[in-house]
Amino acid sequence: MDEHEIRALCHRYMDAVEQADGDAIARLTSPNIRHWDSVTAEEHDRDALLAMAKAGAAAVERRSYDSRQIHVFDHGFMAQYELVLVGRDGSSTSLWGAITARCFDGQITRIDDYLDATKFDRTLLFAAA
Amino acid sequence: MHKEWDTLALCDRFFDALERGDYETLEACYAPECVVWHSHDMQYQSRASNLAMLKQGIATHKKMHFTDRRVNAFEGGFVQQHRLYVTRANDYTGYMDVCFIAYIRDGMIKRAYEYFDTGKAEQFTGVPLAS
Repeated sequence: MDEHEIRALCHRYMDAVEQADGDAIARLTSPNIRHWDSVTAEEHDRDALLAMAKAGAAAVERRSYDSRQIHVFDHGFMAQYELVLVGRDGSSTSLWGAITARCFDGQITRIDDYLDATKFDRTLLFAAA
Repeated sequence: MHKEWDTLALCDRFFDALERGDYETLEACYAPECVVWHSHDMQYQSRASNLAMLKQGIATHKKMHFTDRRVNAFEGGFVQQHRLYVTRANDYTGYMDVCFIAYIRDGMIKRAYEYFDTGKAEQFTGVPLAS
């Protein structure tokens, strides 16, 4: 994958998570993907990743990955972002996070997601599926 | 794709210096205009303030060790993921998973972003979180 393809993959993935588009997330991630996050400090498989994306979207009115700063390296990318969550009551929270990812053959094979658990209501992102 | 060997060497030099308690090397890794952002307060810390904090850490902690270093260089910087173990003066050893992103110029760090989960502070410091 070249730099442009990797950068585009990053944007498509973040767009898919924003929209809780499970089909797109599944297309963009390897069946064997491992997703790790700093809040749970656990690795998750693709099924769990899809469930989290769906549950997270259901918990809020909308969410968006803004202020994306994406940098590409061999076989992967790093992205700094502002995750804006708008609750059902209209309240808004911004979370500043970073992800690193490994990519192969047009798909993401690993994601490491760093967020500060004290800055948000965990149920907005990690609601039980 | 980019092969930024000098960038990778800077990354290793910086974190090795922290482990060794080598303040002079650490200080030389920061550009004069360097600022450091931390996820726990989402504030930019000045070069002087950050170095003072690191100097104090070197003086007070018995040991600092960066394990599981995963480094990637990109155009203009690097990102290192690691698990930081700190042995404190009371012999408590805690750890924290960190993502450290550095933007560089002329072989020095000009801006850094450190992401970690404050919710893990108790396991890192051994001090219970205030309720």
